[in-house]
Amino acid sequence: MAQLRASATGRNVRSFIRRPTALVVLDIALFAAAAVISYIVGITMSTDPTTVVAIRPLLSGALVTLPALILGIIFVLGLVLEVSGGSQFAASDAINWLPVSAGEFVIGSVLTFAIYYSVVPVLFISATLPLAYIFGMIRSWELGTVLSVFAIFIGASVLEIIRAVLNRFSSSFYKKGGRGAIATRAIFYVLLILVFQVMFYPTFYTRIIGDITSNLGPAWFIPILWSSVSVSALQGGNGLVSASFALLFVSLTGGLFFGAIFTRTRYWVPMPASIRISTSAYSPRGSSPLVGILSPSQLAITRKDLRGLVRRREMMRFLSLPFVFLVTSVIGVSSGGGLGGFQFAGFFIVGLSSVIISMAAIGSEGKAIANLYQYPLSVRDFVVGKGATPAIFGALFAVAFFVITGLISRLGIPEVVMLLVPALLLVFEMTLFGMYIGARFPNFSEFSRSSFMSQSAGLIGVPLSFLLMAISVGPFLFGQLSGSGTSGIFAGFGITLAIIVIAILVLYRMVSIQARKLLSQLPGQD
Amino acid sequence: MKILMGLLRPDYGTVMVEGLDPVRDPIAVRQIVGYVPEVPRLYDYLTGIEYLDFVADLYGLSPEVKKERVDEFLTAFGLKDQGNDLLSGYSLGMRQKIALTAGLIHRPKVLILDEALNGLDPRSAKIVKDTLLKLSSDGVTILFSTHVLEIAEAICRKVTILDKGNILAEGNMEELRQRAGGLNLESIFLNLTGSADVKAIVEELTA
Repeated sequence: MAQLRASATGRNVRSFIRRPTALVVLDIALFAAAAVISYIVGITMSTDPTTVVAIRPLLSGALVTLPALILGIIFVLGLVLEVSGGSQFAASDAINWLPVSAGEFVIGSVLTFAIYYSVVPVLFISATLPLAYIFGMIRSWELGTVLSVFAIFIGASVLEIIRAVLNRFSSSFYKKGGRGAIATRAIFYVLLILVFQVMFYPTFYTRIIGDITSNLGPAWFIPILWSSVSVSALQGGNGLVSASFALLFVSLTGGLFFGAIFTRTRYWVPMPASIRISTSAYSPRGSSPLVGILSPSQLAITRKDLRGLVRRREMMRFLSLPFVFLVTSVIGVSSGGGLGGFQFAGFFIVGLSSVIISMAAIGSEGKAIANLYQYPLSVRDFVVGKGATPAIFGALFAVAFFVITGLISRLGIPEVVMLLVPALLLVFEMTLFGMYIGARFPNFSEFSRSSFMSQSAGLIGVPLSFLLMAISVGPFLFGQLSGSGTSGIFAGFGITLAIIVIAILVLYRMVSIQARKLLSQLPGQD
Repeated sequence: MKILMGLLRPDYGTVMVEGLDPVRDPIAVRQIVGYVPEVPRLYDYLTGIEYLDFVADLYGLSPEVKKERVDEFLTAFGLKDQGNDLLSGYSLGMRQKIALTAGLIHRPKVLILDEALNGLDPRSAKIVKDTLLKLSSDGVTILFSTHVLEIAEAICRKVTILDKGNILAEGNMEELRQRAGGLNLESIFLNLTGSADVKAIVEELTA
């Protein structure tokens, strides 16, 4: 509750929905809305006998897997949001020295978790209720709902166990692991976020439902599927088996809950781990691939930001962005050969990735932004230094994206180069645009899971960036798709390059003016 | 202090630092001024050495000078063994030492210190005090803000007592004693601010 309340300090939507009572009200409203919509859909479907025949097994499968799916979603969602939480979020640190027992902490934390993420199970449960009523599966729904509540507590308890164990593991690992430990953590977090994103692919979801329902027999010994076995047994008329597995599932909840208290008591280390990055003596770097391109001040900021991108938990979701886009793009890209529509969508994917990372570049400084004010840093050094990291990252992503999708699509080198050149320039354009928005609407506050930009930045920046990208690459895409032959293709290519170069020059000037305003006074002094 | 550094725009009036206007030319001012804020805002994801390397680059120091000065200060402050640890694991005193090093690394002409001895162990505090005295005798102008009056009394040649934005008194210790009476700076301060009688407050708090 302390964590919820601590983050509910502002006067915006996000802080409002962190108030416990507001969450309950939101759940009730969502329940009613989803149930009404589902009822209307169900009544409509029930009028067609063919649809009824098709729907019944799907609904049956959904009710069987409901608790397991909710557990999986809640668990991964909680892990991802735990991972991307700010490491300096200190609202709950007081817990470590106040007279609060491990049991009291775990109860509070599990309840907070259940309330905060209740919208997910509420939506699933409310959507299935009318359908279950209409198609005569209300008993299954009732059992699935009750077991889903226990599934939430299982997910929350398992997260507490992992948090406590990881904390102790981290403490020892970091003391010995240094750079390797940091890199391993970054890779782990990126993979976790990737898994989470892939999980929400519709094809992946329906496949999981099918796999679970068709393999329940042999899977009875998997504890998280006991809820599914119970519901399935009820649907098959076997009350005894259903009750037995329901009881086992409830017992599992209790067991994991007490396991969470045990691990908290035994493994929790309240003090932040002292992480040693290396043991070598200080040897200032004299050379770098970017020396000669960037000044010493610009290089210093770039190095700092690149380190932050890999080491900061709250930056993991930005670090993972290109990988998520890349993987989901590779899944979707055509392997039939030739230039497919997906490569063209790649401009927007690459551009959006650059915009999002660069919009957060300035706000991500947090309160440490004071450093950039007290040292002799020119506006130019600030703009180039802060823009270099998103630009480098975006450029690497663009190369990876178009080369990999080009290989899968069996494109020739000239075709890949023709895509890469405007893409790389687009990265610089979008980086500057994102920086302008980030400098205009920064958010330096350091609360958990800060987006580092104000709400206005997202509302204005993202749609505008799409418009800019459309204007910039429009001629190139038109030349490719219009069938106007080689001259049309090259004309489109040339016009796009010209537009992007002009945009870069204009945006650089705009960013510099905005940066000068930002640097004229330390934020928060008005 | 923030106005002197160009971190805050003045509502009115001007201030000059070594002949430079911090509003018009903040970069030139920051090049010659070392600033240690009351609460150092360090980058927790950098090590102590990485942070100092970053600051030294912003001051334009060469690699050889960087190495010499970083090693020098880390050894003096007893941080040699923790130099490669992330700042997130540093105590308040350690962070203060890093902030002090960052303020001194470029050999500033003017030093602005805001409660700079917060959290320092006695040995490090003594090093800082003696360093400040030495720098002052070498011609460095030091503006030191503190609520720990014993420190001000020990190291400051000139003391300005402020209360609610007004200068109540200014001068060396002898001049202040003549003006306000009292043996030490604490009693001088309390006499000037009319808050010498705290007995009733203490009795109420401990009742």
